[in-house]
Amino acid sequence: MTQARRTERLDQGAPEPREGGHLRLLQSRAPRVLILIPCLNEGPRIGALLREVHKLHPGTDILVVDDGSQDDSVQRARAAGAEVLQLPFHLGYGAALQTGYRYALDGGYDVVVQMDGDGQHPADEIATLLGALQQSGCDLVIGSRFLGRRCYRIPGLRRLGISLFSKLVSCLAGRQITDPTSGFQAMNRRMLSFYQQDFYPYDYPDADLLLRVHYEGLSFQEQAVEMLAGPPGKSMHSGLSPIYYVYKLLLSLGLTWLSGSLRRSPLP
Amino acid sequence: MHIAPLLAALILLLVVGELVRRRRLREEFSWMWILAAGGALVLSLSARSRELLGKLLGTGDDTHTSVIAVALLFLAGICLDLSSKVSRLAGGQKTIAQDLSRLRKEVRDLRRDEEAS
Repeated sequence: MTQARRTERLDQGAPEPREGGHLRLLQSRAPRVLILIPCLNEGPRIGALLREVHKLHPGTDILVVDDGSQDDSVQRARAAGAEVLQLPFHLGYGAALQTGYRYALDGGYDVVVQMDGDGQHPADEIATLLGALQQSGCDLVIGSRFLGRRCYRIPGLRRLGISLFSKLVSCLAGRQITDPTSGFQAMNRRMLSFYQQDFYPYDYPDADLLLRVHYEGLSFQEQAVEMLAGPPGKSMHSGLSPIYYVYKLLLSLGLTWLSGSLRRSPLP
Repeated sequence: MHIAPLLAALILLLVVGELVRRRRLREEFSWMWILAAGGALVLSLSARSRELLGKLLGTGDDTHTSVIAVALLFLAGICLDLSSKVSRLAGGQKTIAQDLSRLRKEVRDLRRDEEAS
């Protein structure tokens, strides 16, 4: 089987959708859903996560994009029944995600749900995101740890950073965005087409990207989801990278805001 | 205050910003250039800092320091151009790596299909 052709209906347990061109398309046939999991040295965790996703969403295609792991993540992912794209070397979290977006576009998928491979994003919240994507008719739904009465414990400095960028991007976009750094998202093909372009960051697709999405006129909303604490000592932000992260996001946010909607990337 | 270095520093800042905005310079290279432009800005505004730099370089007076500063600026221009080229090549490298991963998968799937049949 060169490319899996299994599908999952979005309407399992989801509320009735509103009117809209995209939704009419989804209703006319069973949309093809791809669960996308970027992975870097997740050997101890990836197998259990994939089995959980398979259990809750049997028949749904799962793609693991391995970003140059040094451990046995690839073998474990294949053993757990996932399709695997193996990058030849470490490119970055954003580049790994974009590899999956391009795969989904070429493979004819209608919807992609992306989640982290470290178990931080519970598999039982996938349905929540899919339901919200269908109900809202938005191009992108972002799982938020901080919406509603959810409580999620994160270290003080990181919470400060998320809070700072949340306030900044909310101010620049003129709407509230509570969790701009969340990687737990569901999106349609329109968003995939936008994200597959060259501007997509290699490393941190965060608040600056949401601002760009906003300026492009693509619709997005946040959806309250539960998230778990990541495994100890396993974070993208270690060593000097938090300093670069803050610098990069501030620079990128500033330039995106300055550019505004001057250089709109054409949507297909 | 020296007008020429001040202008050079401001132009460098604008060029770096524009290159990043146009995705011709990756953010990971930009911080060095912003630091360099900031340093040039300080030197152009503060005679004290120029004196200090002159002492550190052993040039003694402002004139020699200015000559060295112009030479460094020229080298900085070359390096900025190279950073821009590296950024472009990195973009190509990413696309090749992404395509390679998909081709590998297709070859693997085809082999598996062949073995199964």
